[in-house]
Amino acid sequence: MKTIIVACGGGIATSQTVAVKLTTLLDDRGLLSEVNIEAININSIPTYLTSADVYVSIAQHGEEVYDIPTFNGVSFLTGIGASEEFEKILTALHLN
Amino acid sequence: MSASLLTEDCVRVGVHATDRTDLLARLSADLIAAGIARPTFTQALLDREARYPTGLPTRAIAVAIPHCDVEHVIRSAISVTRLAEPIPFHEMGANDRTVQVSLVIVMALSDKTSQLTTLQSLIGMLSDEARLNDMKNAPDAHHLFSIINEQISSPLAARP
Repeated sequence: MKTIIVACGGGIATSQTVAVKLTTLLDDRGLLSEVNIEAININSIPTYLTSADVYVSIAQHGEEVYDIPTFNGVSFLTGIGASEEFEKILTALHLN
Repeated sequence: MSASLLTEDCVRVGVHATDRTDLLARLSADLIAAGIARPTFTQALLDREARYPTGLPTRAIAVAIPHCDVEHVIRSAISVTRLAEPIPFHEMGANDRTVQVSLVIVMALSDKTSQLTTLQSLIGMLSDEARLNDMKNAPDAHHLFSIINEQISSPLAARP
């Protein structure tokens, strides 16, 4: 099982919406059973880092850079570049 | 039964604002006066927007979705404001970029989960170019309200 974390400033609204969007996209590929998606508050990221394979970011976090593949979550809100970003996530998870 | 997230009196078009702070302070004051938000809401919204900006470079019309933590809200509601002239917001996830925003949707949320389906429908509109065009071109507040209300009242239709 792979884990994607989606984080925004509050762990409310935007990260959860992006998580649902990712769930839909994974479901369309029949990959839902392979991936666990967690919508979290940005302050909780360190707690999840050991278990997460991919981080989908919606909020900039200053100088902080995490040691796992990181992707642009805003594209899933605007729809612009979303399919490209999704393919990159699948590649990082070795699922495509 | 919970009250509707969006009521027609919380939708306005042709609003003038000098900048983001001016606009968000006024929209916050309206939500506080309506008993939706607590007095701390204004500062919380401004602080959150400064730290985690919400401007989105959406198609057709750029949108911002300011929001803050649940403790500043009494009951969940949203307000929708279409501006007469766009004002700059920083871009979500890219604080060094600005986006000229014409549609501001303030999301006052009193808990993290109960309105999630409605929020997903609402935010789902932001990747739908046809809906964004409809919101951009709605002739008045009533039409704008109807477009959004129709979308968030039928969440099952919102699956992208």
